[in-house]
Amino acid sequence: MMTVRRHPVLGAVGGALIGLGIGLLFVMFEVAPLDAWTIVASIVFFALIGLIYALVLPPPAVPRS
Amino acid sequence: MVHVLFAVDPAIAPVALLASPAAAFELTPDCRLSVQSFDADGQPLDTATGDADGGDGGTRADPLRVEYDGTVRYEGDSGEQVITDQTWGVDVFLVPSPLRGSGPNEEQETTAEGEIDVSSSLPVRVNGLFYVSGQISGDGGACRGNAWFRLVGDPASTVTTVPFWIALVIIALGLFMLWQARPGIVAPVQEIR
Repeated sequence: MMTVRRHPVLGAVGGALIGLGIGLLFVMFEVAPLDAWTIVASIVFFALIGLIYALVLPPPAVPRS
Repeated sequence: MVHVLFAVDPAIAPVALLASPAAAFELTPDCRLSVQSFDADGQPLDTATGDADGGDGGTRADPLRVEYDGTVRYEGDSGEQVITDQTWGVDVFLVPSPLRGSGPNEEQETTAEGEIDVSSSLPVRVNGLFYVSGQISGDGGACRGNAWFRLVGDPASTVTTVPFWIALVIIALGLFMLWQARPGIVAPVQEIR
C-alpha cells in the first residue's frame, strides 16, 4: 500500500521566506510602513499558507501498472 | 565641538522597533536640535525641531522627510551644559550606525551646526520610515533624543537597489522550498525473499 509523505515544516518555512520577501517589498515600495508588525504579519500569513499548502495539497496520482 | 546628529541608516531591527516611542521629537532637558532637509537640488524639503517639550515634527505621524540624494542640516544646542571629553552616536532602530565619534571639546562650545549627505550615511537605499535616536555624553552633561525620518524617493528607483534583489532572492528561495514541500508518494518496502 502506498503512503503519502508530507512536508509541513518545509512548507511553513518556505511560506515564511516568501512572506519575508513580500513584506520587505511592501516596505520598499511604501505600500506599508516600515514596522515590526508589517514584516511579522506578512511572515505569519504566508507561513500559514505554506503550511496549509503542504498539508492539504493532493498527492500526485499513482500510475497504475 | 558638540555633535548632535540625526540621520538615517537602513539597518532594520523589527524587534527593537517594538520598544520605540512614537509620540514626539523629545530631547533631554536643556537640549535642543533643529534639522532641515533638502532635496537633491538643494531645495528645502522639511524641518523638525526637537526639545524637552516634545518638539515640532519628527514624529511617527509627522516624520522628517529626507531624500537619498539630499542633505540634512542640523543645529544643536546643549543649553547651559558644557560637555567635554564627549562621545556621540546615532542609532537606527536602536542599532548603532556608522555616525559616531568623540572629541575633547576644548573650546567648551555648547552649540554646533553642520550638514550630512544622506547618501553617504546609507550603505544601501531603502525608502520608508526610520526610527532614529542619538546621544552625546561626556563630562558636564548629556543630551539624548529620538525622532522619525521618512526616506522618500521614486518607488521605481527601488528596483536598482540591493535590498530589492535580496527580497527577490528570498522569495525565490521560499518558492523553491514550497516546491520541495509538495506531497509525495512513498512505496512500501517489500521484503526480498
